[in-house]
Amino acid sequence: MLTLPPYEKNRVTAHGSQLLIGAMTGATEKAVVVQDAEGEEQQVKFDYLILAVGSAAC
Amino acid sequence: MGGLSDDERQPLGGGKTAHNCGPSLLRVILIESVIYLLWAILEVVNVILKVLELMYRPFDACAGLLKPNDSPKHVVIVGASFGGLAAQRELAGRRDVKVTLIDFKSYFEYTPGVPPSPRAVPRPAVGSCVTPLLRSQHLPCTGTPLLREAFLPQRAHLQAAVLAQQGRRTPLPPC
Repeated sequence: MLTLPPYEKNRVTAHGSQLLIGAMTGATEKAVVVQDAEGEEQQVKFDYLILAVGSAAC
Repeated sequence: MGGLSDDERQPLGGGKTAHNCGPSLLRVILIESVIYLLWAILEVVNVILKVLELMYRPFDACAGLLKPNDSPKHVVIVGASFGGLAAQRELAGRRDVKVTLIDFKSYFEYTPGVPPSPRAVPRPAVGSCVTPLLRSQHLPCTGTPLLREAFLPQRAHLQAAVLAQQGRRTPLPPC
């Protein structure tokens, strides 16, 4: 098992990318709703959305 | 001694100054007149351009609306597993793109030999909500659809369009 050390809640990664720790609980046409570990929801607006949630049964 | 008569003597300088003085002066006056006329035309054009500039200056703000927007596009990647990290790696370093990676885990974990489960969502029911969105638009739904399409930006745009066509927030059921 390969496990990397944990990151902070919101962390700016290399090359200016932002890592947001939370679960996507909803989506609109302009934003996704992310719920963090404290249960707080926030909307993350996007111009392009990439869903890379892994394989799922079809 | 064969000297020259008064009629044959020519003054120094060709002796035509007395006869060409009028046409030369007229030519100079003509050339200067043309130059002055051109200068006057240019001045008139300059005044016209300044008037037009003053007239259309209030529309400069509107002209700025036609310029392309230079603000970076915000790309949200849901899932920080193989597909999401690969997409983030492809987009990293670009100035025209701002990338936000979303994952419910603060670490990356991979167990060889065990099929990875959907990571971007903590509840199994959430994955079953996302898949019908893609299926409803007749997207190819093979073994690993989301992971494969994470590598294709146009597919990602299509997926965003799928969400846009819903026209409303898609509530995901609790587990």
